[in-house]
Amino acid sequence: MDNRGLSPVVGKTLAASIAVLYVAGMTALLLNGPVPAGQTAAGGELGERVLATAAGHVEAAIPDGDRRVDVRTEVAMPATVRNTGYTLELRSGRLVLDHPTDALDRETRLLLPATVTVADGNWTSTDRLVVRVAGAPGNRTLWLEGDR
Amino acid sequence: MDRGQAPLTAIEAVFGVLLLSSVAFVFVLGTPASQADETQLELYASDAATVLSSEGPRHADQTRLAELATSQATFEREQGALERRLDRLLPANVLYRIETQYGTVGYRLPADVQTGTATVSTVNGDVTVRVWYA
Amino acid sequence: MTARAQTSLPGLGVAFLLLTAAVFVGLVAAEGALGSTDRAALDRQAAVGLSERLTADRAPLTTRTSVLNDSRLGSLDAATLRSTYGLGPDTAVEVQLDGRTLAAVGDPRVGRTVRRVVLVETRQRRSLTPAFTGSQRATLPRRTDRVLVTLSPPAETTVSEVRADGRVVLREPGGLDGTYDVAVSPYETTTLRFETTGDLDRGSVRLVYFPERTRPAELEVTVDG
Repeated sequence: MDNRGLSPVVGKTLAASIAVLYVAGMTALLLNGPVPAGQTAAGGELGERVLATAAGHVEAAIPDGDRRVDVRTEVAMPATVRNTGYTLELRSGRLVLDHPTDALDRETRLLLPATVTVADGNWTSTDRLVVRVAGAPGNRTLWLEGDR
Repeated sequence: MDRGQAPLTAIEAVFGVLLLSSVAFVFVLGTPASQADETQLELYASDAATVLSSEGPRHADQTRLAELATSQATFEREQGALERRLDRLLPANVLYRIETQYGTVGYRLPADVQTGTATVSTVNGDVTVRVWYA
Repeated sequence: MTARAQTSLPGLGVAFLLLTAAVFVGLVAAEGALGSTDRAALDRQAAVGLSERLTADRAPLTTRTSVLNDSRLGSLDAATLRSTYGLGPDTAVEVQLDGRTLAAVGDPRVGRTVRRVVLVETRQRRSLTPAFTGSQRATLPRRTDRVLVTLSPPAETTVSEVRADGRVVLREPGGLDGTYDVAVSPYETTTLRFETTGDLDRGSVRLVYFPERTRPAELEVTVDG
């Protein structure tokens, strides 16, 4: 009967500490395995879509018609992929997504008419993306421009 | 007292499981609509709009779509022919609706269905093409 | 009272077991949701881009946007796909029209396909010899984008001007003679009027025109990058 007042306290404390240990263990387990993996998978998909959208807008920015042009098309892009900024690079006709997490790097080839020259350049996701096309119909040049 | 305690824990556990599974269901059911379908439907809509807007009128005006949007009378005259034209143009599993200021041609748009849309500006006002999978 | 504290421990164990199971099921579901979403945005974008290039205005295959010229379809092959449309060396592509393969590079088995609604245009060649009974006009029975006008007027007649729907398309005050290629509007019925000194009769003018026939078709582009 001495432990009559003590044993509920011991029992509850025991249960509570087991519960805390369980939650802590589960959290540690999830944060070390599935959560980052899921983030990378989702980030990879988002990055791929971001690059595909950018490529589509760049390809669509070439105006029709046979006049001399100088047009700027603004493209809405997400500022971050997997919580970090990224850069888009134009390198000899290829559009490259460069992300601090190397597993998310992607690249694609731009399908542009042969009369369009692609100027190499970079764009950082903190800027607004502007695609500029200028020149005579037979010899147009395309740039990526950042616009703060 | 002995009997009261264990079921209470079990009930708590059941609530916990319900909470977790509802979160899990959001993952399963809440995934965004298919990107593939969205892209394809937008292409069907813009293709149909492009083809129709470059077709000559059956009577008079600049294009077939401009003729449709001229007046109530031309709309009623043209809607049958346009419907037959779209039935031939679009694949069998794609339904359509054309909206003008004088009325709509085509099928009734179901609620909560993924659609592709294209709008053509004609001299007589905008004409909107909407397509969706049957 | 000790019994009371102890029954809660097995209860706790069961609850944790249930929770662990639920977490596991949730993880599997999340994994499944991520895995089943379409991961080929780039392939699809490439297919959309290629289909845009194929159906663009003034593309090698088209007469205008979304209208393919039947006589040029044969010119599309693997080499032109690579050279004209700038595909990567390891990209597999297939272009089909109504299920018939126009050109293929590699074997795009797991690629993404986009379908485009296009018109396929075939031009026929028709000729017309107007009789010119009581007028100096000739109306072409079907719409065309060009007319070949062959003028061989009688000796005492000079044709100074030809108008298409009121617009002067040929003019030579000294007299027109020979075959001329005239571009006319494909969107309306064309009436040609001949300004002459003297009369025209049957055989003085021969017209060759090219009415188009179009049929709807489905262009399928599959890309596997």
